[in-house]
Amino acid sequence: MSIADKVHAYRNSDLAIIARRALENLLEERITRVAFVILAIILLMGLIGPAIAPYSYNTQQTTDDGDLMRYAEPSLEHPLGTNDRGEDVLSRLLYGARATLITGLLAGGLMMTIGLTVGMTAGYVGGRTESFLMRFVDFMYGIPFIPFAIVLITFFGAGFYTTVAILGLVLWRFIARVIRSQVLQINQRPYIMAARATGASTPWIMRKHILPNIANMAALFFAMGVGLAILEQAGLSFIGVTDPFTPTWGIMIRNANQAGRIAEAWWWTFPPGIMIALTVLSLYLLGRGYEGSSDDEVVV
Amino acid sequence: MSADEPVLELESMDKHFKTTSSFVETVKETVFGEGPKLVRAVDDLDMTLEQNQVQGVIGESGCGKTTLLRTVMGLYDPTGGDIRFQGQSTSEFGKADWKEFRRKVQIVFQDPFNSLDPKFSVRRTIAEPLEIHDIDYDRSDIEEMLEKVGLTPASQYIQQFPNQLSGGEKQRVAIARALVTDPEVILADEPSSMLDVSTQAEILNLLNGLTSEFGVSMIYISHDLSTVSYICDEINVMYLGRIVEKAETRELLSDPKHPYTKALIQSIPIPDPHHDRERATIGGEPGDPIDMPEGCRFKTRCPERMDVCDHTPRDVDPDGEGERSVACHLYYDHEATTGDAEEPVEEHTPETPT
Repeated sequence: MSIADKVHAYRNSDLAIIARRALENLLEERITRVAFVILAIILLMGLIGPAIAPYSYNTQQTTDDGDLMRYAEPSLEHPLGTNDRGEDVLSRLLYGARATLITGLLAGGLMMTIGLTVGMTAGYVGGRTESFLMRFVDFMYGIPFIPFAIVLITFFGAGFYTTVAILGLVLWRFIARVIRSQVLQINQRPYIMAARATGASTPWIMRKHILPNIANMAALFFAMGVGLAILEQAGLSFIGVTDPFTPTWGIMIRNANQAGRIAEAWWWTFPPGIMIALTVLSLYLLGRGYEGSSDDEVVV
Repeated sequence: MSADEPVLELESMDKHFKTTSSFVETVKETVFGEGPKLVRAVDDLDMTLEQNQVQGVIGESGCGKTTLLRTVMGLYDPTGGDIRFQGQSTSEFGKADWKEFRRKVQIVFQDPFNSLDPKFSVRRTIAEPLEIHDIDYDRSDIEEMLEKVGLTPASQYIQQFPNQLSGGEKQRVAIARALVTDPEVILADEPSSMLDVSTQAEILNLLNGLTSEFGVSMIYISHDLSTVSYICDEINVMYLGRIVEKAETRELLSDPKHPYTKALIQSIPIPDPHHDRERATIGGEPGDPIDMPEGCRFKTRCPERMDVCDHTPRDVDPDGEGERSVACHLYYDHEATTGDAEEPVEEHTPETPT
């Protein structure tokens, strides 16, 4: 048993070394490091945001006289002012971070799961299976996302998780393509042939050789999938086909637009807009950093 | 297995590849009743690998050396002929036989920079064959193996990754991986060609030492006659998928018979700028393996070209001692067959040395 334990410990350390090295490579460039820090902060916001928010996101703030505080400019009490219904914008922003991140991570995870399964099966099995799966991916590419999402939402109702599911079930297409091409490429490497010549079975090769070698790429595309999901969710929110009561950043912009105050109440519209832009930009910069630190090309 | 039974026998083994790739071409071929064009990468090849023997295969790029090795390895199915491992034909192998074969026949690839998984540490790379074949091992077994291939101190190398190793060290790891399952046969695909000359010598010495230490037989293929002659007991000269000459190393080098072998030996560089040497007498390039000429495949470049070369030459024994063979019309009497020039020489007629 002790031998098995030892072997296990070594493998863990192998994995640890690989992961550490991948991260070190990735963080070589300064701009990637900056993006990484921003993402860490945003993730932290999502984790503890609601806890540190000064007010509840839907409490209507009143002045001392009992009047509703509408369109209050930023002040010490309300650092980002209030909106048309007198709600504190900073609190909504912090609550929104969590909702936005949940959307991104769940939809990203769903995209990754479907994309990885389809891509790896197509790439490794090949033949008719591959043709069928990849033509299906082509078909998915043919679907214009926003109109399709509107149709689905009219069917299933505008729920928060409905939106997440729709995002995940449609946007996995680009991941499937990239993963397939990676599998095809790695499958031709001599070390796969070496493993096969030693008698490794197909599941063994998939698990021990192909999966670890596409792991970097998969992690990266997960990050980009999260970015894409956040962006598309903001778009859907803006045209008003998502759950209007969960305060995501997209919903905040929509509310400002509906109130017709996008230009005047800048403290209301800028913060969520900047947050969305920062998140997506950082995720894509991570992709660019990866492209710089490895010979793989990131094509989106 | 008796001691004098050959480990590996290839009997008139063929490996042809179809050139047809598109649907349209397939239809065209079916309609016009032509067979698909074939690349005859390995054609009618015989070889016998005795125990503890090192067989060399030498030839130009594209002559089918690597295809030969991969077919023997079972990565390609042979188109024709037979491969026998310890007396049993691989075409009769069941799943368990194949697994056993994969343990007993190991391969060392040409390119050490790509034949190690970058995500595998040295320890895992060497342990992988053992894990696949459910052989018990512990860390000391792997360290011992590393020391045998000259990677000392082993404890330092064991946790390293391929990108931390030099080309020579990588190839040593590949050799250790091949030897760790205690194989009977090693197939070496130009294991030294990607390394610089000083490392080449080390790797060759290592292979030489290890094959005798472990009692392994080896098929060693290369385009470099100097490395082949350094390591091999017997050399097979291959030209466009066929073996044109086969002889014991020293005999082949001192007394080459086939015009192609002669040209090859003349082209070994001699590191002396003032050395006055005979120029190689052949020019041109190896023919197209798709539209192969009838008869001898070397005839288009051969300085000794005769009319009879339009027929496929037989393997004959030029000295009559039964030790070597050469497939060239120069070395046998054609009286018996040239009487009727229209009739092509049968490829498999039993030979009648003069």
